[in-house]
Amino acid sequence: MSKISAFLVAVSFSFLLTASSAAQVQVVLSTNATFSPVRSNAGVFGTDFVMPPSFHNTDDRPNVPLLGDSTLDLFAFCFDPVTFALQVCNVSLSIHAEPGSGGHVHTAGRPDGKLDHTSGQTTTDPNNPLKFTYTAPDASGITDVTLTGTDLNGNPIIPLQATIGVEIDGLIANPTTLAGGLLTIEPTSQNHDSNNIYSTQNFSNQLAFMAIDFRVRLVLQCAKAAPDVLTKLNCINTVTGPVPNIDAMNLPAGGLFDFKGNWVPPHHDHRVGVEADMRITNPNFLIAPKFRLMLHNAVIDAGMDDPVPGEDFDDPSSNHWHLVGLP
Amino acid sequence: MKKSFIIAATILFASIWPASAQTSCPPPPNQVSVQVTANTSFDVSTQLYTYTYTLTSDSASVQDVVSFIVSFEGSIDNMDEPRGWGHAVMSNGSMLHWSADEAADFPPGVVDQGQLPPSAFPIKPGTSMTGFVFTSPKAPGPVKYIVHGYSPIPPQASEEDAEQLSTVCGITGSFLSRGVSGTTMGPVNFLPVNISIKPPAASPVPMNVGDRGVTPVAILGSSTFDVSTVDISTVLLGPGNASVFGPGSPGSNGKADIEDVNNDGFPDLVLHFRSQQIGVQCTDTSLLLTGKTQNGTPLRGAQDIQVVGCQ
Repeated sequence: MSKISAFLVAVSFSFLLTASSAAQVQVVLSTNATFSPVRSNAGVFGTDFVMPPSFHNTDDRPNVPLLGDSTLDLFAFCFDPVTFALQVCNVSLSIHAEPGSGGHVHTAGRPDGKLDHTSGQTTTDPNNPLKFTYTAPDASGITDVTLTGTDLNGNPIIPLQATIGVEIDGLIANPTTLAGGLLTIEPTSQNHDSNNIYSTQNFSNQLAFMAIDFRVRLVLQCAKAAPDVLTKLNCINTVTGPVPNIDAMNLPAGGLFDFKGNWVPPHHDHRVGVEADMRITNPNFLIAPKFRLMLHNAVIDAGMDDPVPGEDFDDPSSNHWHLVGLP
Repeated sequence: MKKSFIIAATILFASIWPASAQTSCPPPPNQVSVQVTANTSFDVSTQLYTYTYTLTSDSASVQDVVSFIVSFEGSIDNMDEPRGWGHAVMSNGSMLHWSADEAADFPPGVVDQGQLPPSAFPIKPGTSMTGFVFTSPKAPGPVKYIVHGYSPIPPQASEEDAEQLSTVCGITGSFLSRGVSGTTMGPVNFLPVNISIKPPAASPVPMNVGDRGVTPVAILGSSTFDVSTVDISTVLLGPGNASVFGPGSPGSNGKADIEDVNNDGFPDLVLHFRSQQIGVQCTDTSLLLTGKTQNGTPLRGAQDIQVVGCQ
């Protein structure tokens, strides 16, 4: 009984993770209440389990898949690795969010999520397995799960390591320009590197549409207002200046985008891939007042909400428009 | 072809745009009363219809009109607009959006915090503007229009405030639904028909939002439209898509009434609908009827209404 080893068994049709010791009691974690030694990798982070982040203090946005706690039930089974007969074990579960995962580059105080309880006894009753309920944090990323324990003889079982991907799936990384350069994306958040460039494909298309619509409206104004061809060309040359710029979207797998680095909102939004901040008053990306009606109408034409301006009145260059895409 | 529709703005916006103690909500961009007039001409040589719209803002309008959207079917071309306005086909591909794009200066003393300036060429209350033009190979029929008044969203001092304002003030959701909508004429892919709600009532027909009875609607026949060709099982009325109730409906043994309700010598088809299923809203200014003929050709008709019984 002195030799203990671990292995993970991967099978394709369910979410399960298995660890074993040769000729010793083995333990698995599963999202299914029915015992089966199965594991699969899934989701953005290739983890054993996948779930959306929790959403607290968020606005009731379109496309938000969940408001409030996001929970995942994990069932623990001990079993004989030879006969696959269920065994009784005393187990403990612990969780820890992986530093740097989910696009966050700040670690101190990172929320792990929580377990409804951390220890218990597995059963041999297939209809009454030991269940832990994990509540995801608002932040996306990888949560490491460690399961330890002993069998009824006091022999330790192999510590089992599993991972939970807390994530919004299906987001894409936007390039630095869209619509042939008519819109630029330049994320600057110190706490997320350049990771806040993600959105749904549909929202990316909406941004590109907005940029093209804006340019068409600009050129149309020149063409209509100028009395002759030369003046028209000069006008069009001048309106190639205002190129909208995006400075914040969403992290690779959505979730809380806490640009202040304190793991709590200010960004209630920017979680599901349909939101962006567009600079307006920054001198390097200025949309002069005379162009804003056109840009506003382009936002509407693209199928977004009426944008809300502002940000920080003490920093006149920081004011931007909060864009929200509609389904 | 010319038809006028008068729309009334909802003044009681405070009841549907609640504000929290911390958030001061801007009024919705529907504080306008506008008459939309459509003129249509057909060029035999090009086989194109030219649609020209005139907007007249009532002197009682609270806001300047800065946006005019018309639905269309098929393709459109040769768009034009008055001075200071621009246009674009919206991303849904079925709406043309004219907007007063040319900006005026901020009023003196206003600090630029990213907000929208006023338009230099809005439609002021008590004035008209024409020249909203496009061409289409499609014949005219009833289409939806949406008008918006100028109501810029005030700048917010923080990200939290901006997100809060979106939710608390009801800005979340389609901008289009926050304007004033109605029915005008535009290019359509269907057979336009004339309808008469509660015949022989004249437009705008009074409709009580609390009515729990039955509303008769006649599809009017003409020299070019035989109402006996209507497939009654396909007919729907109003935003609630009410189906035909009573005689002529699929579950009824009786036949729908065919009579000449407008005394023009052509038989008309009289159908009945449960008033509650029609789903009239306080902001509605017209009712749309849709359906098909027995050979599957879509048909559509609309009539102006005046909603009563709103608090």
